[in-house]
Amino acid sequence: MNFRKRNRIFLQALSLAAVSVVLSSSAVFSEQAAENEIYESPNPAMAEAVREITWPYYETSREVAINSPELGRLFTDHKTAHALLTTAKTLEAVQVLKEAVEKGSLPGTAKQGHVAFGTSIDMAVVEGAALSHDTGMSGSGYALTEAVDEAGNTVKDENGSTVYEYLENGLYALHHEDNSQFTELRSNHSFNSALIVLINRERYKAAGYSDEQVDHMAILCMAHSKSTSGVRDLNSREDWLLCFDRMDSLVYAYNQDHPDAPISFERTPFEQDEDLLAAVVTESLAIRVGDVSRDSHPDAEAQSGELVHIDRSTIDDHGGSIEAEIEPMTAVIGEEGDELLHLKDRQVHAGEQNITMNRMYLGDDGVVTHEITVADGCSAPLCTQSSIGDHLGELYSARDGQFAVSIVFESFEDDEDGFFRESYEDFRMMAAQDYPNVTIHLPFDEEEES
Amino acid sequence: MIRTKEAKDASVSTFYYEDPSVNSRETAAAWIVKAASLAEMQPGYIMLRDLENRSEEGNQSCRLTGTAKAEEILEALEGKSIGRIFLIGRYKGGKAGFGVDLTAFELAVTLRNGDLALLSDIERDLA
Repeated sequence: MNFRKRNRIFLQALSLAAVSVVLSSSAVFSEQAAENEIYESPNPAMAEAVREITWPYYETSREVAINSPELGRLFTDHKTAHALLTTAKTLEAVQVLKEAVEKGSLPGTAKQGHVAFGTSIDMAVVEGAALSHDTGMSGSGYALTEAVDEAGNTVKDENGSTVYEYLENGLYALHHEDNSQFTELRSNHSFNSALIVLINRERYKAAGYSDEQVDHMAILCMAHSKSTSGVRDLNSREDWLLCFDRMDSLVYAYNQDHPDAPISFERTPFEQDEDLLAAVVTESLAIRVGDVSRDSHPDAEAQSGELVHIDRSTIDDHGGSIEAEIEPMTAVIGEEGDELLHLKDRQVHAGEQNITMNRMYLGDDGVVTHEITVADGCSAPLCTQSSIGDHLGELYSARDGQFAVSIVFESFEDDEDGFFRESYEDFRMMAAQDYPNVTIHLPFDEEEES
Repeated sequence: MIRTKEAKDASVSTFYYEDPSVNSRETAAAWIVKAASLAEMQPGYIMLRDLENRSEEGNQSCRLTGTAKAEEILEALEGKSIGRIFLIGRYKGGKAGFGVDLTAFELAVTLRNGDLALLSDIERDLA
């Protein structure tokens, strides 16, 4: 029996209430398993100390999500299980990336205005940053203030990027987050994860980190998100300078509000030590890949701690558009079985719950390969491809590197006319233009080669 | 239309072009419609790709029918941060992707490696 059929029978056999009870306990198990078995820490005592610092913030982030309107409640999980999984995937990725640089398949030297990939990886910093990277989802931090025109619309530059307001001193204007605006909270969370590291500097130092390592962790937390950090291209020196400006702005805003307990961030080492900044490039890419490598499953937990149940048998797999695929889909959250109403929430959960495993390795050809396992290649193909696109986007954020993405299907029972194969072939052609430094390998390629 | 560079991987190849006459959203939409209207072209669909917010909640990517008119494309672009217009279809039986980067107004044609013989016809027909 294939996965698809098994899944349908399993879900149809249970009432929604029963699903909630059964899967609540499995979620607890999942988190325990993650904490105990998901990865072997290179620095267990330091990691434990970091978890003691950061775990309360993740608990707060759950409460914030519960209290926010639909958007926060339904947001994909960004709490402790996610932090642990991200850490495991990040540690795997950073080793692969380092090896790739050493073997010359990622550039270890950079042209003018660029930053190379580095190999002076600080594993304690990487682990600490990965464990800390989403604490900013706890809210109550700062947000970059968007410039608005006379009509009240956000100003965009010629590249479509949001334009922000500046203070007279040249720093960015920031304002306090309103936790009721979940979109703002989410958009600025990497910013505030960095802030939380800096606020807790003495606790991280007590865990064994130096001042320089605390700054290093803060910059990795900041850079794990492309938009708010400003580091759209990890190999762009200009982008990093923008990121440091934003860190300075964050420190300034916080210290204006907390003159009795000021924080600090020292940007000079990152600007002057080429090896250090190159290492940050490699480490940041590892965290971005680790972050997006969400090994999901049916009835995955949302940010509110509730389970999101998708009845995949109700998806119109042949819909031909994201909207059409999920229009008839039954999708509910929580013990009460509240329906997911918004298109984006439905799309994201339908897509992400179909991605069950991610890993990175150095291919036989020496190319850094990110493997994505899809449970059912014939279920919600466009929603699934949209989720895969997020992975491609992270690899595209290191534009001086060449990467491969290998998509694996656990189950793939195509129609006679090859509808689903065609869909993934179309996706690959579009991705070739959107993400030119990423090659996509599909299971059908081997059939053609043989 | 001058070919400027190409990128080839194990499965597909993408060819990039400059064309001074494609320099605005209007002319970009017109180029896509021209590609969709090529003789022996069966247009599939047109994607408006929000590349700025790939993974964000506010992603504004949307899909139009491959036979959309330039005015319909422009209407769909209105107020959105779309980075690329992309058309997929079949040209003389081979899968072909046509894209315009709306920032640099760079044109791109993607073909499967097995269909590269079609490129010269595409370049001739689009010239």
